[in-house]
Amino acid sequence: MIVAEQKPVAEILRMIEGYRKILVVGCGTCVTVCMAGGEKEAGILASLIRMAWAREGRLGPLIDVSETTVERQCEWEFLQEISEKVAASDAVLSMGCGAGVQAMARMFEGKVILPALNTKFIGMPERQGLWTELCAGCGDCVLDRTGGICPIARCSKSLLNGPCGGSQNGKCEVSKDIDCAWQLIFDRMKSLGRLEALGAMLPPKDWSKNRDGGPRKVVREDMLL
Amino acid sequence: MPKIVAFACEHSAYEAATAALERKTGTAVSGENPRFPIVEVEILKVPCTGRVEVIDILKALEGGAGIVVLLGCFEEACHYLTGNVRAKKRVGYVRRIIQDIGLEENRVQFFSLAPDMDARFSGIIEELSKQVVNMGPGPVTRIRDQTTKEQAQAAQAR
Amino acid sequence: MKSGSNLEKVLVHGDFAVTGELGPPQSNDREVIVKKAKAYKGYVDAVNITDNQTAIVRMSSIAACAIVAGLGLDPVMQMTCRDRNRIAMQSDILGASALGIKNILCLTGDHQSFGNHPTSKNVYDIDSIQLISMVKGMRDDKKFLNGEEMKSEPRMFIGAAANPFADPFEYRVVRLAKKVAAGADFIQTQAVFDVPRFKRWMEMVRDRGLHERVYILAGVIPVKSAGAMRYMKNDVPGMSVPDELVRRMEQASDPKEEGIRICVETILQLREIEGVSGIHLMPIMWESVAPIIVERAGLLPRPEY
Repeated sequence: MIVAEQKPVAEILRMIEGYRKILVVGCGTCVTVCMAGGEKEAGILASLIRMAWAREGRLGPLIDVSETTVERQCEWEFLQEISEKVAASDAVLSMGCGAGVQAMARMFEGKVILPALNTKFIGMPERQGLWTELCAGCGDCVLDRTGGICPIARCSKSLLNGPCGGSQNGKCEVSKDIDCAWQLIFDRMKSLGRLEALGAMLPPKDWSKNRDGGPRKVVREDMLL
Repeated sequence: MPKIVAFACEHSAYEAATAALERKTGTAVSGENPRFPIVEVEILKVPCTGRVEVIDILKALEGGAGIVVLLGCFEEACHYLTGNVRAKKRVGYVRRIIQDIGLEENRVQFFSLAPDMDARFSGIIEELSKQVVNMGPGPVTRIRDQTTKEQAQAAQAR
Repeated sequence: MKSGSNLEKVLVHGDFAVTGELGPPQSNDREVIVKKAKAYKGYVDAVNITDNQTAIVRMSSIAACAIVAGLGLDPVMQMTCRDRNRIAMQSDILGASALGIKNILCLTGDHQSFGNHPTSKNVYDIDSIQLISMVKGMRDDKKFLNGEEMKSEPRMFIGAAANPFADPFEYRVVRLAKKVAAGADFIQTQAVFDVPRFKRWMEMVRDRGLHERVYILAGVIPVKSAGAMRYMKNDVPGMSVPDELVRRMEQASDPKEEGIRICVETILQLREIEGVSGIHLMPIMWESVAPIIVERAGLLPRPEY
């Protein structure tokens, strides 16, 4: 799933300065699961904004901060459902990932759509309260050759032929809190009895399949109407 | 009037509160507050403090509470094993985020109680009453007071 | 001869090679380079110039190499994969060759979080092994990485790094073999303090016959003080320093002299190891000590070709 994290409240408050009617929109998909921008978090943020504005003496009859949550912000049909609420607001604070914010910006022309989250990565909850990055979405998966552990997302230098000289006691040179991805790959390949496969050089990567080539598209001819 | 909203666990704190009321050792369960008549206390019975969500605490503040307090069981005594631990962490989280908007962290607190601790219950309410008087009303009440004043001024002007 | 560099000649002739490291200044002051390089003259076979080491911005390795070449010394241009993509790297390699630079050391590069621009974006378009292979392809096949042919090739003596002290230990020799297969002509190791562990690594190197396919230069660092020795032990990733050496530095009445003594002893031990073709001196902020060490280790005079 996509993992995100709420921006600092101070930054959000600066963003919405000058607007009177704010609609906080949660998203019921990835960011609900990672507890960054679901229904609960939308309610909390709206409440915090109301109280912050109250402290500044900004609450009054013309001021309104309300919240709503859609199933998925990155699909037109779900956004359709909130068009009236959006129309009634001065600015929308999206608690979706970057895709959600942009989908709303395209759907609601002429409306200010602001991001309340920082979208971080594709990953999973390691345990309750801890999420880690697993996939960099590079567009050209190498997991078959690295024992199911991604060096692009998990090595600090995205090395295809690691580990570098900074790997010690299973940790990355960058921090003792970071596992060396290549140590993990080595251990895994060893347990799979496939160590000899690491002896071959992986060739330079085709980064044109990564985001560097502009926004990427996936096309399924059989599904296009 | 400054207000305290207390979420009290029915397995411990709520019983202590009821006993305090019966024995008249201190505050009342709801409304009156004989030891501190200038502070309103609202006590809400909950099945476990772990069931109190962040938004419930914020809504209480928004609703005019000067202090919101969660009164739960002692660490090992939770009826649902870890509900009170979760509640404590959640209170810590709310204290942090309300500081982000400039509110005092002590507007949200947690205390542990056993069912027979009516004296401790009264003591806590008394202490919080002093604090809430010192801190003044919560954010929303403050603005309501101001709006009322403004409205009064506007009415006078008319 | 692959490149005709002085370093290559020395190694091909079977002399025990000596190279010295030179860190460019954090300014455009060419005199710093000139001064440091002159101190090396007559004492080393090649001067190895770092490429924004520890991710701190300094004068470019390529420019400093050109200055050093102009003084009649043989520069080794370090190139990391951190700051350039394959386009910039190939371009710089062509430029370096045109400036008379004949040795290149292909490195991964320290992560930018160590340096003075920790908020920068790293590149790592290709990694060090792919870089070695790319330079070899340019030199031997006259081809760019994309397969297109070039008119004249950059004749580079290709170096790579090896760290016998990093983990996973048993994979380190596999990685060295990958570098040799990719086209490394010489190897420069992480600084050796832990000679026994280095010996074990060299055994593994010899078991695979790698010492016959690549020249191995063992890294050595002269250490000035007990504090510096402790720093090497505790704070430098991928470094192994025996407690005994820390103790010797702590108990020494003249720590600088003790540091020189340890360095010379290490060199003498390294020279005895089969498959070690030379040493690479890294006198960090202490270039002036190089002549003393080279002389005391009995490595003078340096051969001339």
